[in-house]
Amino acid sequence: MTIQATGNFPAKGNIMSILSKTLAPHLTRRNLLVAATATAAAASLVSAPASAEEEADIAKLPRVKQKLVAPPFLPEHEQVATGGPKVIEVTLTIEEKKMVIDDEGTEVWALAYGGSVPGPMIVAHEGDYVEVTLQNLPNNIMEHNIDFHAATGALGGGALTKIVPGEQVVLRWKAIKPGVFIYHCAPGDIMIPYHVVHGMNGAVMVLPRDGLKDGKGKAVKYDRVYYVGEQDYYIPRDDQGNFKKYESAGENMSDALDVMRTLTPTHVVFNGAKGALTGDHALTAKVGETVLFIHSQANRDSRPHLIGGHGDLVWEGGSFNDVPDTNLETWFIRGGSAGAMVYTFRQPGIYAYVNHNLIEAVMLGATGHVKVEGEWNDDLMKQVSKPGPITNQG
Amino acid sequence: MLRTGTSLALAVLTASLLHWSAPQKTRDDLVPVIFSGEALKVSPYEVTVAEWNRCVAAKACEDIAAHVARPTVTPVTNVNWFDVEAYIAWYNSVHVQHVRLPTAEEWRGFSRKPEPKALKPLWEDPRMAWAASYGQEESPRGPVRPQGTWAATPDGVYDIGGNVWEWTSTCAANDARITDAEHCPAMTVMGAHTASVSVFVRDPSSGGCASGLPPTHIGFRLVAENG
Repeated sequence: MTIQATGNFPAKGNIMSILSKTLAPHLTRRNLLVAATATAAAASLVSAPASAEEEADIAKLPRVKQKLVAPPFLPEHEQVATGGPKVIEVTLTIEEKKMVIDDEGTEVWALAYGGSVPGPMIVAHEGDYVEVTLQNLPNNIMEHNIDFHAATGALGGGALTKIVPGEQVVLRWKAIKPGVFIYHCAPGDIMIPYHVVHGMNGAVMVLPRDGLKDGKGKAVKYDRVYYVGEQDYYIPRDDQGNFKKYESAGENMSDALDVMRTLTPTHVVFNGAKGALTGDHALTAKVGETVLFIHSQANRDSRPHLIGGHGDLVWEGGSFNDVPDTNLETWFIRGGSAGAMVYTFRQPGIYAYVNHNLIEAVMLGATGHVKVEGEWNDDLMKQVSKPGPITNQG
Repeated sequence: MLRTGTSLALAVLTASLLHWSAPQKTRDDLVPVIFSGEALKVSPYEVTVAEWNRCVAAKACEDIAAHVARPTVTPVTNVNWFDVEAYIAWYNSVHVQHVRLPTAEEWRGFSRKPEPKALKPLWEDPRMAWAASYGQEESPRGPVRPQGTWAATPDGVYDIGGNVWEWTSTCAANDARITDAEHCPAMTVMGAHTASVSVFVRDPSSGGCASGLPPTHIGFRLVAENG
């Protein structure tokens, strides 16, 4: 196990020298190797069976392969689980890839689970086991891992999943908490925020086995579900004030850390890029349909709002064991968490789904649209007279 | 009265030769365009950063476009209605040939787009008119490009279909009585689609929660004051 697997990557030497100059001395190339070796040793210790009986029981469970898809969509799943607990197998590949994040052509070298920002959503039911094969592709240049907020122990799995390019690791964790949770990369020190603000986060939904319930215990079924992953980016600028471009992942390290330290993002976007959920990519629904929206923010607080609608039922903190709030205008997503909202559309037209810090929505990019088909309801709203001169000034 | 191809080409050539010389006494770079029986002399290009900077040098305009690699061929953008008014006032104070903004109707005329492009409405219901054009409007994106990037009309008016929208002197208010800029909160801005932009806005491109697409950049193009 060495980093030589990536030796053919042209800019790598350059990156490593930047890394060693930029970071604390313990993150040198040599120590990356040492860290990787130590991780492997730790992993082999932990994977020694604590209880052969328990392991045998898990081995008897049905195994289901879940095909992950890019957000805003979710993998096929049952809302109410049929049968008992399962082992859900997923493969998450990590790609370091250049993405364009706005319509000015601004670029980021994204660190992308599943090749998307945010990473794909994983869906399980309470009591299921999630078995993740995490793969760090050979052409990558950085060490990565994964911390599941839905999982219990070992830094959410982060301590057991550090892999260098060309490696994979398999982690199994039991879904004991129903709700929506983020996952993110946490390779250590300054690299934790660096990876997270380069797109390295996603979400897990753990449904109650008997599905979602409103506050009165009545079943809640959704006709559609969308995953909105909010991402804050901190793109360095050149002397002229233009956003800088880089040849490879990690090359922006020292510049990016300076921007990150300001806590002032240059972009706040949904699903990886400004406009990823508008125009041809707008979310769709029909009048009468109930839609579940899951919103994650791995790093920074947000406050989703559906312009023209409401949050009928909102699990603001993400736990499906909590009684959902009702009829909210705006709800809060704590940085480092995901929340869920259900809305039944009553009017056709265009709805804007925004972060209601409107500076972030309008100037930094945190806006999506929902295009809803159906018949207009005059009872709910009617333009009684068109704009015209004031007739009787009050 | 339409110009022949040769004289038109000459007009455009003249424009390219003289466009960047010192302030002229007359604007022989303007392109005559005839539409609806009216003759209008139109600048073949949008006002550039270099031209703007002359106004800055005269301390009549704000220095808002300092950092551009090729100022003589780059349209000035990030200008709001008041910036444009200041430029035109300065220009007319130092030139014999006075200029002004075109009206929206004149813009449609010289752009050879007499009617806004017919859109297939998303909803036929008149109560849904507020959302009917969603996703149908064109909006060329990207950074400001050198003049001439986009094709010319048959009359030699360039960059009509580009990503720089142009201020007009037409008020976009619902109230037809509001016609002068002094009292107009938003003007009609012309480009790939027609937009209504607040007189204070310099950069509309962020867009956001309104359902329509915003203009990408806003600059301006001048026409001769008297025909």
